[in-house]
Amino acid sequence: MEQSRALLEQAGIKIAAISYDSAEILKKFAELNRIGYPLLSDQGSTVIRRFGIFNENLLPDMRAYGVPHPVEYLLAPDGTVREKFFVPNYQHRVAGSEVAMRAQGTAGANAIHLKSGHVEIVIGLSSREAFAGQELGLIAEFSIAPGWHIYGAPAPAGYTSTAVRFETHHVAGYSFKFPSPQVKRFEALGETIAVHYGNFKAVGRVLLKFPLQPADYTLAGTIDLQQCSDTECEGPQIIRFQLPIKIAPTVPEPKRS
Amino acid sequence: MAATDSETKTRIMREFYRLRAAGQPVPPEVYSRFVAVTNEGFTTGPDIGTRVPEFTLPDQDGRRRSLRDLTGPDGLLLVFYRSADW
Repeated sequence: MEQSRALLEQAGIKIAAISYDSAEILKKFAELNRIGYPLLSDQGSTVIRRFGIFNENLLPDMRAYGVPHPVEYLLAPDGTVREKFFVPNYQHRVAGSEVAMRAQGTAGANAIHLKSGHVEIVIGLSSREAFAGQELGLIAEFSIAPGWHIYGAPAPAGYTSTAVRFETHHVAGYSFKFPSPQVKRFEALGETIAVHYGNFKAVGRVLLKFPLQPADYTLAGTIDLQQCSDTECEGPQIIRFQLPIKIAPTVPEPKRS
Repeated sequence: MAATDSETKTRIMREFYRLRAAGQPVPPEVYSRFVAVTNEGFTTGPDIGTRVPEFTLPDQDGRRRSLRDLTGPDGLLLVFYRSADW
């Protein structure tokens, strides 16, 4: 999180974190880890309950009693929730890099570059390393040569709309959102068609399977698209990609002291 | 996944904590059962597009902080996490 702070602050977004720890514990933790953002002490978990994310499973004599379901909220300046990030498992944490990536909107250093005909795509995950069961951000930056376009959804009959898919070997689920397509009128066809052209970004999420053995994996997927200009059309294409990801060992539960 | 009854849930959690406290190895199936029951009923709080509740809490230096003073010009990333202690 601290690594992502500079990126977020450049975007005018501050960070604060809430746990049920005492201010003394937070002070030690902040000094030890050189945390430069506020760590708030919600002893008694009042605010955690007010947000409706108190973990009701644990019993009062357990050390973990009082923890929240871990959720990160990206708030607008007026306190409205813009986005939520969570992994449904309190043993795991969301990578701060995912949030920074969404705020900054760049594919990051571990992105891969794809080129096919008149279309270039830079696609990358929000992190090189993750835990099994973690949700990662995904971003794809498309650059389409002038005069050319690809299709939004729904594509006209006989044309392929643009879609990103993942093979389900290591991936439990994914979603991907393209910007609203442009509506283009084709005089020759007498039709208006939803297309993407120029430079644009699409963002998504990829949920890793749980469990996965710690190791280096590649997440394989495809981008379906069809590239056309006003006068000519190439056939539908399936562009394959492989994104590297390192699965880290699950955080060990510390011994109770 | 159906909710586990509270007796079973308690037994699963106690088994995990007993092994931890005794410094014994925790078999993977015990750990994965523990993870499953302690994450049941996962809730994510206020919906996108709604305002979060106001609060004032002390920070690591003991200063009282409100939502308003924590927020930057373009917003705030508010992180709820389990603990800084374990």
